[in-house]
Amino acid sequence: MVFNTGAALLDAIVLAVVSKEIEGTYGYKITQDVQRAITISESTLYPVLRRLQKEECLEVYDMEFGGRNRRYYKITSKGSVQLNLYKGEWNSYSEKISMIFAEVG
Amino acid sequence: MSKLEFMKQLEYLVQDITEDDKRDAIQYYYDYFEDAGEENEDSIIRELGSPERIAAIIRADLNSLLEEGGEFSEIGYSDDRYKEPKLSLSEYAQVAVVEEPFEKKPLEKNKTLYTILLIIAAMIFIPVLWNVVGGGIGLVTGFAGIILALLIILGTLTFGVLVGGIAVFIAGISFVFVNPLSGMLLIGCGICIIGIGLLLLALSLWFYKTVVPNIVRAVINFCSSLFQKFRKGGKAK
Repeated sequence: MVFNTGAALLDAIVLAVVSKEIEGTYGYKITQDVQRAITISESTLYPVLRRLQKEECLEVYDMEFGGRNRRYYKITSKGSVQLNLYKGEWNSYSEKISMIFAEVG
Repeated sequence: MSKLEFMKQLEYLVQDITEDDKRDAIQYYYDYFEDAGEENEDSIIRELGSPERIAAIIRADLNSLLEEGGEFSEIGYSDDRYKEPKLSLSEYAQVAVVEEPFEKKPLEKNKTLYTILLIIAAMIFIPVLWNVVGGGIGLVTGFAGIILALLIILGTLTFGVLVGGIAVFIAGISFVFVNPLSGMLLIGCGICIIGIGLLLLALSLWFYKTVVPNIVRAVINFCSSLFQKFRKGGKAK
């Protein structure tokens, strides 16, 4: 992706990725899934996940996996609401830009 | 750098952070490595850049400096360069330079505080240490004195007993002419005493040959191990 992804859009992408897993998902997998859409550094997501957790859009729980405790992130109801907001914003935003591009011909 | 070295260095760099925050951050990156698997270890280390960079990201996040999206996020996913297989380290070096102000302060504060505490502790402890060392030297000297005394006593005792035994023996022989029975008694006693003297001789010989060298060797080993400890302590600093 060539465009600079702002913080809000990154939050939206992370929320969308996490919401797809009903039971929640873990750090490495989230990064992998996000990287399908945009190129991000492996270190980028930790602050984002922490922030979303602080804002109560994500909740965490630990579950045993392969003899160690793995931390899972799950979207909250507040997070779902936020995600819908983001989706709405994105739709209108991208629509307007697509229209301008379409006018170019 | 290996995963273990990376994590160790990272843990060291964030050691002054609050327990919970520190634990969460370290756990996140540790789990990240684990989930990625061994085969991805090197590429992840390259991607993460350096423990210093990650530590700076953790601190910046804790200080709520990354809410605007910060430099870290944008460099990572805005740049097409990162799609290339070869990642130039200069990008990371640049990011690292920006981060220095974040991490230098806490580390430097720690260092000066540490040296001040060390000086105070030294001032308190040196007199105590002197006394302890003096007591120790006294103990060692006392012990050495005992050993020395034993040496001397054993030697003189052996000598004395032997000489005495021989003397009684000779006296016995001369007495035989005067009073045969008493003379024989004296001869017998003399032989007994000589026997005891020979036993003592054997004991002292054993003492000189084995015990003393062993003690000397033990003392030398102890001294050299102390010396090595001081040397090692000096090198580690």
